[in-house]
Amino acid sequence: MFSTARFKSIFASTTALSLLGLISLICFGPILFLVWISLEIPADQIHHWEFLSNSLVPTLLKNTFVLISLLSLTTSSLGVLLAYLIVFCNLPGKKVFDYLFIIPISLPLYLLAFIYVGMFEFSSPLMTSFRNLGIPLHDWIKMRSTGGVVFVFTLALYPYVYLLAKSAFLKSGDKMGMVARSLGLTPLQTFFRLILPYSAPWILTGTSLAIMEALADFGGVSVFNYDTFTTAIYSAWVGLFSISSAARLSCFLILFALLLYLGEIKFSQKTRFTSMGKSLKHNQFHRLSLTGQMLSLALAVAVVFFSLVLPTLQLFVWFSQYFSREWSTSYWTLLYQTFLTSLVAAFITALISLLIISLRKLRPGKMADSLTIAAMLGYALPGSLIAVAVFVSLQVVFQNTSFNWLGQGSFLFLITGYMIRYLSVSYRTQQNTYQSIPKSYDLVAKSLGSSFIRTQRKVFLPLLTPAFLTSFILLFLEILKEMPMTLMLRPLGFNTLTVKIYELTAEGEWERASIAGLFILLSGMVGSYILLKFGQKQNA
Amino acid sequence: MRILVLLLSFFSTSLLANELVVFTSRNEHLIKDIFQQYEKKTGVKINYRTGEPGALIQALKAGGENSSADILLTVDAGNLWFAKNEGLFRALDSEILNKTIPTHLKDPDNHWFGLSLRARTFVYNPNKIQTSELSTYEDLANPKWKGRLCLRTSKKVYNQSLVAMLIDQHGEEKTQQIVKGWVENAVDIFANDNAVMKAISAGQCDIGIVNTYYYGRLMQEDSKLPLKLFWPNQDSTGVHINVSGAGVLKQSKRPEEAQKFLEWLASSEAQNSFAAINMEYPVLSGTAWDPLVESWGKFKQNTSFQLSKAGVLQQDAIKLMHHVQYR
Repeated sequence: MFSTARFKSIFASTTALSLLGLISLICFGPILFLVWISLEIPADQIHHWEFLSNSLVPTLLKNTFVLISLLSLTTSSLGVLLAYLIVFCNLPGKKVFDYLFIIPISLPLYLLAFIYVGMFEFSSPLMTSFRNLGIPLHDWIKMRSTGGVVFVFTLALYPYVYLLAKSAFLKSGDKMGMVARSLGLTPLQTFFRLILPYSAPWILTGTSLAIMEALADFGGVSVFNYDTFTTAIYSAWVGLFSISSAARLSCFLILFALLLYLGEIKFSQKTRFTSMGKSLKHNQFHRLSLTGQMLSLALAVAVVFFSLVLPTLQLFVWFSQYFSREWSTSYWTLLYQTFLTSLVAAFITALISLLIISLRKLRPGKMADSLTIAAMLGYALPGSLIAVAVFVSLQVVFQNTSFNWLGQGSFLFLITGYMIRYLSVSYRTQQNTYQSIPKSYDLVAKSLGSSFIRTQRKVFLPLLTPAFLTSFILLFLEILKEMPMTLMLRPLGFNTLTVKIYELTAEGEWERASIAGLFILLSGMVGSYILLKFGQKQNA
Repeated sequence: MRILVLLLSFFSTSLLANELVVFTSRNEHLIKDIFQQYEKKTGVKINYRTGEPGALIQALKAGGENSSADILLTVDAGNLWFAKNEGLFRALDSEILNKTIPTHLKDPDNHWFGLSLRARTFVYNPNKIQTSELSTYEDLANPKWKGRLCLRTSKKVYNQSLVAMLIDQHGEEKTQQIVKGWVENAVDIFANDNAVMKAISAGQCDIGIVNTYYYGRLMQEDSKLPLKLFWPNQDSTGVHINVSGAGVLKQSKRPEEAQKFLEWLASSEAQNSFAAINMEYPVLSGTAWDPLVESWGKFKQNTSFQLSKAGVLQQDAIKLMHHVQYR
């Protein structure tokens, strides 16, 4: 006979596993369909697959590899360096910079890419005026090059590393500084020997998020005419009309995401530290000399100038030229619908992440681990491929009903799509915080006779709330700028700001897209501000 | 399942009886007015969903019977070919459409019909080039154009369709030589036609190949730009054209209504505005052209290239362009 307590525990663990299974089914199920399509390539398309695998992909792999390696280097070093300056050094104006460093996360890659490529084109007003001064700037700076792509992508993607590194530094902060001082370590020794190893999991997560974003990108690289693996997927799909070849290629992206993620888990397990407790407000153990301050300030200003000021100026120039021709009150509707979708989708996805964490606690083990990992893999896929995956699943689910899912389109499908793509972002953000909560809390609570649910509610939820809010805002900023999936999954007649940008830019009218671009930027600024406020609360 | 369907319907927009649903890759600001015009005339409301052609086709394929879509209206004959190949369209038996649309601009089985023409031609800087120097697409491979040509990326379907036409005329081997020549002559390869034209007017290069409506739009913004159009291959095959076109979907539950709408789009009443709104050319002969389009002059179009072949040949074109490193 089971005792009631044992029965309860078995019941709870089974329920937890089923729920986890359901989440995984929703997030990974559609991707499985993509795998399924990829298994068999129709006979008349075999020669396309041969062309892709023998001819196109090999030439693109090098490009992709170069981009990914350079980007992981640049985003991680810039993100870590800036976070170090903000958290540990006496950088002048650090409060303002802290805010400004986050905003670029809301800038869509394709928008930033277009602004920069356009600005450095031979025919651009900027290059023309330099030429008139006798300075052949265009001969020196080739924006449509590997260097250009890396430069622009770094500007848009470093905030992922910055955000995560910063929160790790704030947690490790002052105590480590004190330990280090008592050991007589220099600030740099402290950083490399103590803080960096402690923060490595966060930095790794941030870098891998940035890389995934770059891998899944198509809009940005196509502006540079820089061909990556994703270009091959699109060529297979929209050029050679072979969706099964496209699906097969995207399986490699899923595989890559899986390996990267497993590596990350392995690494963070090795370097799991127990937090040293609440950090003080003052972490500044590294006082910079005046020269150091000036140099750091110059770097900070340069980053803000290139990632924010210059693009915004360009948007404003276009805005002022095209406002009267392009503006209509329908933009308010677009703004409202964009906010509505982003907020709802971000909230649901953040909530599901929190749920996963609790469920895994209730029912730890290999099975739960695998289900969780499966649910995270969507982040490696281009949005439009996820949309195809959702379509195929809906086709299978509804094939014998009269439900007109395509013609009517449902808000729910769009939300699901966002969740598949971005669950990884919010889950990882929350998970790192969760892992830093000392295991002893659990034991203490248990020994005091607190039930599981009560411990969750009274101890872990309050500790996780800031991380939940952080991940919520991060998701909001991501979904705000998402284009390809929104385009495909949105309900009939439902438009957002990025849909508007697509419509205008598809016809080459980038300048007219500046209104929608500025709206996204402004929303991003508001979002970043809230993110920062939560962050401060979290570390107060 | 029934509960799920009910629940989802709650989140969805409902459909009215007297309406058509159009899936289109034409942008909202290019179609809205035409749709409203039809609505005013007939009372039939046109609902539409915009998106990338490949995405729309995939959605329609998955949607199948569970879809209320009636029409696919998209640009480029290759996309229309693909939609037909995927079994999305139904054959139409329409006297009006058969009479109006020339054979080379429609599907031989009447699955889709071209509704407006887009010409891909030369744009050049008149300060640097005499018209006597200009002749054919093939001639742009001549070494005399080295360092003077600007190209748009090979990933754009307009170039794939142009190269498909060359393959149709010259075979793969000769076309490969031509395209290789272009790439060798090219100063730079741009992401869009606008960038090509701006490079020409700024003096980075002298000549490029663009769709005429991009030229029209740019000149409307700044009529002083040193750019002019030239119609190549006038003594031989004619200028390369592509279409934006449409077909009625197999799954349509209102095929007669849908056919009527397509017939209206091909009528003299709609043709002028359908083409003029994007500075394209009407398919119905005798329709007035947009005044700006008129000012570019008449030209001989390539009527020997059956656009229905574009789909297959475009796939060959993609591979060919990859082999000559046309990015």
